Amino acid sequence: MYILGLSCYYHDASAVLLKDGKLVAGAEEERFSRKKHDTSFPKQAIQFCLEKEGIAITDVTHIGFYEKPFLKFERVLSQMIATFPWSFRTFLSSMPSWINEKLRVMRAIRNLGYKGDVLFVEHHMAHAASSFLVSPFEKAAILTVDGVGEWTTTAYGKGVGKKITLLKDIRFPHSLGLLYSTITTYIGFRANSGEFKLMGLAPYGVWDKRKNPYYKKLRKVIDIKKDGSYALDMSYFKYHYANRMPSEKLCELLGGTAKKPESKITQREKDIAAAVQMLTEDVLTKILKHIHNVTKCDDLVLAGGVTLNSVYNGKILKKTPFKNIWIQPAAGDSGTSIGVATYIYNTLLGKKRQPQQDAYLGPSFTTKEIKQFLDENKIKYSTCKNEKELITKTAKILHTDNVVGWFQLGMEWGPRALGARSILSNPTNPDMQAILNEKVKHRENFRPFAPVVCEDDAKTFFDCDEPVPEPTDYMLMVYPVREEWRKKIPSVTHVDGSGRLQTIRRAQNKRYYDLIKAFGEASGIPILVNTSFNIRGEPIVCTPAHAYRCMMGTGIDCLVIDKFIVWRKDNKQDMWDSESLAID
Amino acid sequence: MSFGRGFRHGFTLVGKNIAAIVNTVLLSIVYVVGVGLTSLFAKVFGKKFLDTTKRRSYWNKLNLKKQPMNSYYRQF
Repeated sequence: MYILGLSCYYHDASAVLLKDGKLVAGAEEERFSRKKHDTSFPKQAIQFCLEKEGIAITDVTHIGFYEKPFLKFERVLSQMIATFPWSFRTFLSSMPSWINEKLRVMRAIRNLGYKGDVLFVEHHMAHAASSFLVSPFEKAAILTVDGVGEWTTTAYGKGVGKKITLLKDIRFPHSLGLLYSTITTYIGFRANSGEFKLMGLAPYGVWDKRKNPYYKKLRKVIDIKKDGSYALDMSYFKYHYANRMPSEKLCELLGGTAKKPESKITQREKDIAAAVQMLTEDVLTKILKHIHNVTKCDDLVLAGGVTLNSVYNGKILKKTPFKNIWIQPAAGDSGTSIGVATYIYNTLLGKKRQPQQDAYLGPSFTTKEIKQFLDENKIKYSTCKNEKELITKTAKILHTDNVVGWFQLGMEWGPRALGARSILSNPTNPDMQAILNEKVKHRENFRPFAPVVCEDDAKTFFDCDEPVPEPTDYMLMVYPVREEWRKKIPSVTHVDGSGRLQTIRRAQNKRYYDLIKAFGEASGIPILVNTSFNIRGEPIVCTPAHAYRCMMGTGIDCLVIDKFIVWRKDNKQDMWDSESLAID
Repeated sequence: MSFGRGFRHGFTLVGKNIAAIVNTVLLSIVYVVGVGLTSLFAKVFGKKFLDTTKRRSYWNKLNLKKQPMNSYYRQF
């Protein structure tokens, strides 16, 4: 039995395929269309899912869609009516896409040639299912927090076996996700992508609530109750009727107009970032304590864009009574396609659950296909005779401070590169952050790079929970680097001494695990810098051609693709200039 | 670009602009008549489309669980 889950038309469109309840393929549309956060109907992602299994669309028994479009449309119209006449411009700009595509999703699905059942599941139920039904827990408390679904912005409930009940919710316009996005835009980053930057900027600000002037100010915009429920004072926001998120009143409260994108970041922006991060943590902690009290569960699952806040995720087990945690690797909207597919299979059809084991659900390429690509394009490369040679050579390349493009297995599901489409480098080099930024990423220099460590070594280097929670496998938790190691791995230690680590278990990715261990033997520290294989403004690479092009257009020194090693210096430098594409 | 392709490109552009103007006019009428009048009546009768009232708790009862299968075929 094949079930296809779809999510699209808001941000990060995606498709996944379940075969008898097992996740066999999944990818975001952006990886194929090469448009970051592509929202369009995921035609290419669907095609990939079908091709990977060698089936036709007619073999699919059910298609699930991640929300109820007419309920969402009702909410949009309600916003327009409630804010008449200020909503005029938003009405004009948003209605064509509602009329032409968002309300006609059935037409897009039928155009695939599919004649079977199409089921629609509520947005936050899809989020809840994406975390609980593929988690290792038989019973768990569930929290979903994002910008907005149909009406719900925050919901909690409980999952038992194959059943999920969402007990209570908070509804639009009150949204923790939209508060975070509003401040993101206020300090000059883009909504729906700049939130990670704000999170990375926050540790540079003042983390004392009494001394941070913006914390007190931001407390005025949100009414937080003891049970964690909250309401925003909408006079500080415009997102419910305009294309701009903060209102003039919010600008006045924070002491000035919104910062222009790409302009210089001052201590003020850092303090504002710290203030909103602290506020978000306050609300989430109260909510989680309340949920624990209501559900009496020690296991917790999370989903929704806000739960990609890895800084807070790393504090949950210390700050709340929960003992175990699981988070969907694609906790944002792209993950809802997993949610709707598993909800149909497990909950509606009552079939057995299967936990998600890894995130390598995307396109993979055989040795033969990769060799053919290299040969056809007259690319100079060397071939490693066996696994040992590949690992030893790559570890040596990394130890001599080269930047390596690492292309193996199936492409990762979710926003993080996890050792299939990664750029790897030496974390012990104090200049590596600057080198990576200069050569490849062109990122703001305040943004840290992430460390990857084998799961069995994690406790040695990081002050993480015991046992190491599974979400760290998906780079979803930030933990303090142990004091004694901070100076030894400077390029992955953030200003507050933390690191957004990825842990790797050998069963998930043997070659990657062995490489980290081999690097450890050479350097004395079994940790690598792991950053996504792309440049700023582009989606993560998908195919060998994307990877080669990315290497040749940047300062990546070499590409390790399957068992082949391609050096940039050995090949013609006729690719594009990555600097010109470094936008987001 | 050949004359034929250029002509077609120009014609498409003109068509798109006309469509945009017609859309704007029609949507403006819908906005004023549909959204505007509804908003006016809502204000008169005290109906609130967005809940912004202060409460002791902002949690709303949802109790969303498995429903009859036919409800999942609906888009609402």
